[in-house]
Amino acid sequence: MALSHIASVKYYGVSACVPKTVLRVADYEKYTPEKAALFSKQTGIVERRWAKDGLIASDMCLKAAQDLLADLKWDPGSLDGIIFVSQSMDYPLPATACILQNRLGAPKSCLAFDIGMGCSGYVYGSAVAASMVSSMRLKRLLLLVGDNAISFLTPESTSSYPLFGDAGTATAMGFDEQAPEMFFDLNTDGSGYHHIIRKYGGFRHPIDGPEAFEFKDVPDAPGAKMRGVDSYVAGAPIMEFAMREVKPSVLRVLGEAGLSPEQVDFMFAHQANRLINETVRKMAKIAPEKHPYSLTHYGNTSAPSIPLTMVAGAAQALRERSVTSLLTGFGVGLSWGSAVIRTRQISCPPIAEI
Amino acid sequence: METLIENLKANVDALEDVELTAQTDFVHLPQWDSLALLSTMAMIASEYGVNIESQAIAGCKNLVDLETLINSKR
Repeated sequence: MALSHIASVKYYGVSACVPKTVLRVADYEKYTPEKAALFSKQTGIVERRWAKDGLIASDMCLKAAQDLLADLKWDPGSLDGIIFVSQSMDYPLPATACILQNRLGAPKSCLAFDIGMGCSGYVYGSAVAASMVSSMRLKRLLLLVGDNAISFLTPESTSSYPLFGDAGTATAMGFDEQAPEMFFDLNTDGSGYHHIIRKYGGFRHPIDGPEAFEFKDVPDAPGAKMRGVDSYVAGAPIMEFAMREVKPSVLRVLGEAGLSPEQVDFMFAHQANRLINETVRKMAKIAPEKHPYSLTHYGNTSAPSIPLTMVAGAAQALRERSVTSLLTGFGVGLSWGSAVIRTRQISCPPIAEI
Repeated sequence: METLIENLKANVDALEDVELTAQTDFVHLPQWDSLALLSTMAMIASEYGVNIESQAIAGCKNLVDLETLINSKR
C-alpha cells in the first residue's frame, strides 16, 4: 500500500500564474443564455483563463517560479531540483524541466525531470518532490505544475469544453530537520484509463492519418463532437470513481497523520466541478468554509488545480498562520491520492497574469 | 415519493421547473442531460447516503424505479 510519511521536508511556499484572457461561460457560442446559466449553476464554473497565441504551461510555470523565488529571496543559482508535472509539455522530447532549468537560470548541478500526470499530479508531484528532498537532503527544490487544459478539447465538445482552464504554478520545498512530517496516500486503477483519454498523439495512435482529425459524436453527449486528438471525459464514470475512491483515500491519510476531519484547516481538492467536489467534501465530512474553490473563476485546470486553489482561496491564511492542509487529487489515469501537509507562514505571492 | 420529488427539485437544477410524478419517465425528459445525471447521483449520495451507478439510473423507467433502487441500497 502506497501510504507513507516523509520527514524533514519544509514547504516554503506556493505561487500561481494565469493567462490574462478571460473566457466567460456566458459568451460560449454553443450555449444559449439559459444553458450557460444552468451550466454555471451546476458546475460552479463562471469563467476561466485561456492561454492563447502560443502561451504554454511552462511559460506560466516559469513566471510563477520567478515570483516565488523573488518572494523567498532565493537566487535561481541556489536551486538543487526542478520537477515539472504536466500533460502539456513543450516537446515530446526533451523533458520540459530541462528547458526550465536553463530558462530559470538554475545551475548545472540541479536535477530536473518531468512527471506526466493530470488531476492527481500535484499530490503525486509533491510526494516525489518530498521523497527526494528528504532522502537526498536537497536544500531548494521547485515543483512546477501547469497545464493547457483548454487545448485538450475542441469547442465542438459541448459537454466538456467550458469546464477547463489554463494555469501554471510553483511550489518550493527544501530539507529541514525541524519540519513536520508530510503524509501521502497514492493509488491507481488503470482499468479506467479510457474514461479520460486523449487517444491520438502518442505511440499507440500516432497522428499519421486523417482519422486523428475526423469529427465524431461524443459518446453519451448528444450534439457534442470531438476528434481523435481531443480529450474525452466521461462524466458519470468519473463521478462514480470519485464517490467510490476519494473518501477512503482521505480517511487513510488522515488516519496516518492521526487527524480527524475537524482538525483540518483546509481541504484543497482537485477542482473537477462543483457537483463532484461538493459530493466528495460532504463524504469527507469537511465544512464548506474549509473547502475553497478556484473553479469559479479559473475552471478545472487539471494538474495545477490544487496549488491554484491554495493561492486563490487561502493565501492570507497560508501567509499569516500555521495551517494543516488536506490535499486530494483524483481523475485521469485513473489515478488518485491524498496528502496532509502542515505549513507555517509560507510565501504565497498574488496570482500573476501574463 | 413526495420526499424524493422534493429532493430532486431542490438539488437537480435541470428539473427545478418540471412537473414530476411517480410515473415521470425522467431520463427521457428534454431537460435530462449529463449534468442532470451527475446532480441526481450527488443528491442521492448526500440525501440518502448511498452510491447509485449511472447505468442503474439510466435504466429507470420512472421515479418509482428510482425510489426502489435507492431503497434497495439503504
